[in-house]
Amino acid sequence: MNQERSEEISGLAEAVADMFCWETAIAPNDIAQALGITFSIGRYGDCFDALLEWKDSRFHIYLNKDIGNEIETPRGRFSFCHELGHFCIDEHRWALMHGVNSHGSVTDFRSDNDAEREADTFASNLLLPGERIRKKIGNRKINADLIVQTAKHFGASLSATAIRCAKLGISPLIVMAWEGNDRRWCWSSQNFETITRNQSHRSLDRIPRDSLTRVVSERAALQEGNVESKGTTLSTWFPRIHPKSPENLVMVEEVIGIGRFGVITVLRPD
Amino acid sequence: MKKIQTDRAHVDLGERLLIILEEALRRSGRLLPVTARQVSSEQSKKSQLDANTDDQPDWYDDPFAVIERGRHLFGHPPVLVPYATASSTAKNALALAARNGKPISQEIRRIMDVDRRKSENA
Repeated sequence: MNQERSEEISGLAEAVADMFCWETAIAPNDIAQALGITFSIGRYGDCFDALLEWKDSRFHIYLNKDIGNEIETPRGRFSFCHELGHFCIDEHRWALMHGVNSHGSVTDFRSDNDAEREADTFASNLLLPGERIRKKIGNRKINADLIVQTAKHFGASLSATAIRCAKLGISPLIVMAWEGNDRRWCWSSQNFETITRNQSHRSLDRIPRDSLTRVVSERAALQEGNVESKGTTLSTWFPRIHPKSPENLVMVEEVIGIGRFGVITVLRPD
Repeated sequence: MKKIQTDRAHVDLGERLLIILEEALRRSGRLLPVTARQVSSEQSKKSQLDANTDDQPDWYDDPFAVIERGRHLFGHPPVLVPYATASSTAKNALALAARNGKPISQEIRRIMDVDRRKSENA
């Protein structure tokens, strides 16, 4: 998805947030109701997180609580907003109304399917509207604790909030998520992106054994929202940065637990 | 020197095209009236337009009121639902957009249908 499209979708999501939840917390169920979309929260095995269905000339959203998509959980709220994205993005709604199926099959932010990525972008901007985050954070430098607080405030997942904070570029920041030994994603604020290109090591084996992320990942799962911190350098994480390069900045490494989904590494200048 | 014969009909067509082009450019604001006659003609057109335009209802000034009215008329805010009226070919179509979707068994499909009916009739 190019920058222009991403901005178009962000703008649409923020407009929807302002239109239906002006000065209130984002309530996806209220938005659905206002848009005339019915919804069910039920037990649908492991078939999907959420699903938007066009049938008999009406839209309906299913939210699957069998895999943690309750209406009040961050995961459920994100999934609900993701489906609202399929409805609100004209091309997606049109495709559904004309019988084109769109089945996302990869989790979280790893989806290669353009429509799914667009719906993810919509969901993240709807749950975490940029202007409201800027207002909430103010002049503070973003760190792991602030990401945890912001996630709680907006009822969003830690992953979505960490990515949003990096993308908004409020303060210099790099975030990456690990599940077991594998890196799931990596995002940098604009000022760091030119150095990192978001191309961090993809395997935890490539990170020194004494790095906090590795230490935490190798012991029992860090409880969701718990934070630990330690000093590090950029070259530890990004193979393209030479240890003797002036780009090899000293950073603070913080680790946020996301329960059974692994950990998020937050890198920020000291 | 031999005089070039001009085709009268051809010249008329060229003039007419120029007039049409000038009018189109003027209407789109790309060509401004410069002579006194052109300015006077534009003013007269504007007066006619003003005289034929009724005042808009007050609620036109409030975009939320416009959306609200659209919701009453169409059941959806019109800004988000330009395709609110289903085409006849798509009327019975069924399409799904699932987050992390896998094949749906018949048993789950049955549960979904029951849930949907309950929700729609609530």
